[in-house]
Amino acid sequence: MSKKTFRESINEAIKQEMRRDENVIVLGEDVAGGAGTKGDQDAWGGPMAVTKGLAPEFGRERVIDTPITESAIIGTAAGAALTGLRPIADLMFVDFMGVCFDQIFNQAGKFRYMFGGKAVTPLTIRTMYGGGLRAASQHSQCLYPIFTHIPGLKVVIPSNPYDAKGLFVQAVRDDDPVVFFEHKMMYDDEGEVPDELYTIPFGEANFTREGKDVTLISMGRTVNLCNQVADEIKKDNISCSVLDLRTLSPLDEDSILEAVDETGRVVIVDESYPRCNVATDISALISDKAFSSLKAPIKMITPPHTPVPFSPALEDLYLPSADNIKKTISNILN
Amino acid sequence: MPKWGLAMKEGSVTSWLKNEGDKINKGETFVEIETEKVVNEFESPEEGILLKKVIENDIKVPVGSLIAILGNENTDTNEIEKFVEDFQSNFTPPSDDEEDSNLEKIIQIKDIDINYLQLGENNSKNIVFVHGFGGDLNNWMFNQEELSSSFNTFSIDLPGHGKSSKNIDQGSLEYLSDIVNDFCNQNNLEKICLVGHSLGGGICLNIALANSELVESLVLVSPIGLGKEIDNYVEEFIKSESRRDLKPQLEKLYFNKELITRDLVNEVLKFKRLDGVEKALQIIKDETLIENNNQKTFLGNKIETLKSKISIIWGENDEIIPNSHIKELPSNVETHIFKESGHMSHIEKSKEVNEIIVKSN
Repeated sequence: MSKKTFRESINEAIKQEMRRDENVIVLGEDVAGGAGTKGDQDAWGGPMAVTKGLAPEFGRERVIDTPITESAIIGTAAGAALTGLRPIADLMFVDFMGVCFDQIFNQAGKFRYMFGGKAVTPLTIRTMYGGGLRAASQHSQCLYPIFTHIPGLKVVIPSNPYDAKGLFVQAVRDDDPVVFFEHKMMYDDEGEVPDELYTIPFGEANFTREGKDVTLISMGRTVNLCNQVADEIKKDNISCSVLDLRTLSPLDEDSILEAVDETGRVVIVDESYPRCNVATDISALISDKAFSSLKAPIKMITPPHTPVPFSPALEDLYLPSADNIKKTISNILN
Repeated sequence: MPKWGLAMKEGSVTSWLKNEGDKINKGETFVEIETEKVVNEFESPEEGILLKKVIENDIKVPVGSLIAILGNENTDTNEIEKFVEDFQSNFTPPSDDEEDSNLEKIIQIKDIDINYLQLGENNSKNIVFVHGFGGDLNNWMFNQEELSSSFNTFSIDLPGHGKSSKNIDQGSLEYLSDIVNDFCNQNNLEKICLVGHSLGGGICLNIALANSELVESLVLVSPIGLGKEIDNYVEEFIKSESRRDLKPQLEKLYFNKELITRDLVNEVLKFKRLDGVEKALQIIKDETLIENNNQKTFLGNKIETLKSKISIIWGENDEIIPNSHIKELPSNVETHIFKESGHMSHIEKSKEVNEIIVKSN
């Protein structure tokens, strides 16, 4: 066990799975960098250096720099998965997924169903999401609700390095297509991560804080914001539990209902656009199945329904903040 | 804030058992403390009046932080305030450089890695602790450190457990006993006191039966091997993949079910989810623990021939192995049954168990 960053824990997960199983391959734009040129090899290792060091160890046959065409990356990866490999496709920014929706929604996500259960598609799609990098509206979206909407896809969104490694290994070993969401502001986050391989099953949410007064439900980066708030408001004698969903599909409904039952007050924090997002989905679930446990209205903290602003000042205002969460908590407690 | 076990970096007060102004005797419990791994009552290291509770409930503070002030009855309030102020301004939390966990070492035995922890040296007597099925050396956090002031103490992670190798292909009682036996030989330990819990208790008893030269005394906590009955805990523990499945299983281990927090369940799941663990546990279960829903190992008929001094401890409320197993033992065994204690008496009744270990030496 040692301290590793979010970036290192995913890098280690990929490396160890590639060593364990020769069917695991990596493909995407600049996953190594320099293929077919006389220039530096493995200079990039992906835009955030998560796949750095893979090409020298495993060779160009298993670490494939692709042309800039998302539809070809996913089309290739889905076909490879269907025929026996376990590809990890790097799609850089989730904002670019629009051009390969057919390959994901209609092909990879449907193979098992359309072939009467005779085909499996062990495909992992890595992608970056979220604001904070001042990368403007075409490189800062969350979009995980869109993938959660599609049956046949699994959607994973870790909040810390330990979960990232275990969930990633599970994604690689899973026989269905998994979209793995990495927040671009989290790569340097540190945590204790075992050196050994391990898996975390999909569909098990995790309580990162225990409390009696309010439950904060969240996913990915905003879980850490919730943890921070829960720690800070202890001094005001407010005890807050935090539920980290870890996977959006499958969704751990039992833990959500358990959490509601314990406190009766729920605040859902979701960085994605407010219409038809995870917060609305969970809110509906709670209203439907746990209405009688509620002591206060369910509150949702999300950005406004606009593109992510480029202006740093506006982007900071746009994203869910600790202040926002604290105010909401104090409102529902009074 | 006390330090229970090597991994503990911070803890919080969950409840106070005494109020400000109450008298506290040395060794009396006065506050309940929660760590990542366990909730337990803290015994006062000194006698005095509880003058001030310094930290609030449920706030995590680093090990070594000031949690309360004990002193004479008529201590001046200003003096107390000044003490707190001085302490807080001079206090630096222990650094995070993992210096502590380096105390654990790996040793090669029979081609696998065995992780162990030694605390205490240059004492005349040696104690070796062997944990139970699904546990690890941290199970002795309330015993080993305490006893290390007057003994050389060693705790090991059994094969397939803790930080020892997971890729094992055998798990018989003989194999596990050989590992512990070889561990003692490689460390040149002689005339030891072996302390074992559950599966570890069976291993320790088996070693003592074969090697009375090595083992001077034995202290066993709810050991296997003394009767047929055993709960389906072992099978269910292996099978449980989620927090929701595992929690009721772990609750069977303790009299006080509140000890099983979600954090504790998560810690056990972190171990169970490592590659190779499930297979290793299955091998040990099949080769040593369970056959047709009963215990596979029986050593009770040999105890009479044992040359080592032996004490056996049971919790009255043990839900894993019934305390009836302690009732038909030959007269060379000293027996203790603790009220309000489950399968983990070395944790739930640590003070009493430590006294028995000291006395048996």
